Amino acid sequence: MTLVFGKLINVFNKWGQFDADGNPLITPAGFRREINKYTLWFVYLFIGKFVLVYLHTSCFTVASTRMTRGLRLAYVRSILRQEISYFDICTPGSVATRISTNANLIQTGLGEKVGIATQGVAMLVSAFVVAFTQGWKLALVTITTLPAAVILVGITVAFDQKLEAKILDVYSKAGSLAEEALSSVRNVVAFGAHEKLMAKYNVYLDAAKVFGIKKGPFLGVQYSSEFSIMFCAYSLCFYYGIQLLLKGEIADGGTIVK
Amino acid sequence: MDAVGALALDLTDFSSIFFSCIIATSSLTIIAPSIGDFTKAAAAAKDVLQMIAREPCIDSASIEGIKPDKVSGRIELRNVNFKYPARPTVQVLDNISMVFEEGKTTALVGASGSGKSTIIALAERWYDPESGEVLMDGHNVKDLNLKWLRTQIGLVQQEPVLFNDTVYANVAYGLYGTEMANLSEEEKRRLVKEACIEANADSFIETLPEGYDTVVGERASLMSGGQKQRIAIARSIIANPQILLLDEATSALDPRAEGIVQAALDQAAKLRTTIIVAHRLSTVKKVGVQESCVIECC
Repeated sequence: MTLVFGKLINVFNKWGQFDADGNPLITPAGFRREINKYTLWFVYLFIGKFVLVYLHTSCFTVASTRMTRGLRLAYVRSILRQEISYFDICTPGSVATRISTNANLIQTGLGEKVGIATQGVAMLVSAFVVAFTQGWKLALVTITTLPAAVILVGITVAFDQKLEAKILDVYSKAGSLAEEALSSVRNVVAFGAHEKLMAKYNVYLDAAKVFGIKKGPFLGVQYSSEFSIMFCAYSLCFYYGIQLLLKGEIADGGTIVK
Repeated sequence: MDAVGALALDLTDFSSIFFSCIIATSSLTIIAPSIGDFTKAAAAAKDVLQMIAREPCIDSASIEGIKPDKVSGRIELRNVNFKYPARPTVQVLDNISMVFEEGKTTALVGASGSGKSTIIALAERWYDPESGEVLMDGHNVKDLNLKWLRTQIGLVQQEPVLFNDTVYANVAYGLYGTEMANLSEEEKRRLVKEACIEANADSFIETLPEGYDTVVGERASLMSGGQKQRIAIARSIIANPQILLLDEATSALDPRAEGIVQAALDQAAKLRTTIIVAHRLSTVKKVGVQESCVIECC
């Protein structure tokens, strides 16, 4: 992926160079030939990308399903060997809800998202590698925005994770209540306890909601900072790039015509 | 073309760097949405891994502990003190000592909450006593292999739990964990039939639409209480355990079913060390436990 993107950018640059070069004016036929060549490159590249993305998505999905299955098995095995007093304290219902919700979350986290995120990181790294090899000064200035993004995201994710764990805890309690109510549905109906149980369930949902709302600001900071830092990076790049260009023009006027 | 000095930069380089920047920052937006999922997965994984790593203080999967070759089935409680871990303020057993002689039936009678079922729980080693010892044939149950110990004991509870499976399969579950679990299907069927005859269940099972292959339904809802209980008894005795624990086994039944189940239990209790827990003395007297000693507990 790294090299592919590096080349991609080079394709653009070379094309730009023909326009800007000035001295050896390219013939229309030659220009078309070049365009066709690079267009075909694009096609090949994206066929390759398609195949690779398909591969990594299916591989990660298979891997995550297998890992989650292993976890589920180990979990059930561990539950079954616990001493009886463990079950006196925690209700079997919450144990069951725990494993089903947790396993699903883990599967999502281990699945194709990993592939997508890896792709993202690879793009990030390769882009900076290319940037640095092309002109380390401008790249260095632009990269200064990255630590800010990483730190902000890191902090918000840490808080987010704590809240998420609390929410999971509440959900497992809510699940066990629901399980208990449904397993003794005859009693619930006989005593007309729908309202009461629903109110009880609502208490859990409200508790989860409180944590969910607390998550809001963290997610807000996370996304907004990511995007603001992204745009800061753009502007920095433009600003400093132009400055360097101007200075470069002064140093060597012939290089840049436009 | 070549740059003059470190500051020099041409349009090629600039556009190259600019595109890199766009890709770099847009890759951040690709990563960002996944972070939430990773966070959730990490929290969930922590929970799951904690559970997986939890070491039980009584490990039913343990392969340690001795497995004596011969079992006579004498159970003894020696100066046992016990509180339930979930209710540490209530002293359930206070310095209790008692002996359940081998091959004999002993009834435990007492009011609810007097600790009768606790003795059964201690014999099964669901819990360890706070102090004192629980002994089986003179061995502390803590030194015995837990799986082995539990296969030596047949348990019949007030509310029998049957799985949503055939009658045959439900009874055959009683062989699990013993050497007999590896027998051929044919031999297992023979054992199931024998156990059901002993449990007074064979005659009614044969009248079921599909006999032993009838499915008992979710929570055995297709069976009556007495039928369920007799299937449960067959399951408890199929592996021929030396010890039989009956925890209020007939309490939930109507008088007629109680009589039938009681007859099955009497038959099953012969030659086995049997502990009967009942809250009504009448249940035990009606049975006619001639050679047993009745211990008033707590």
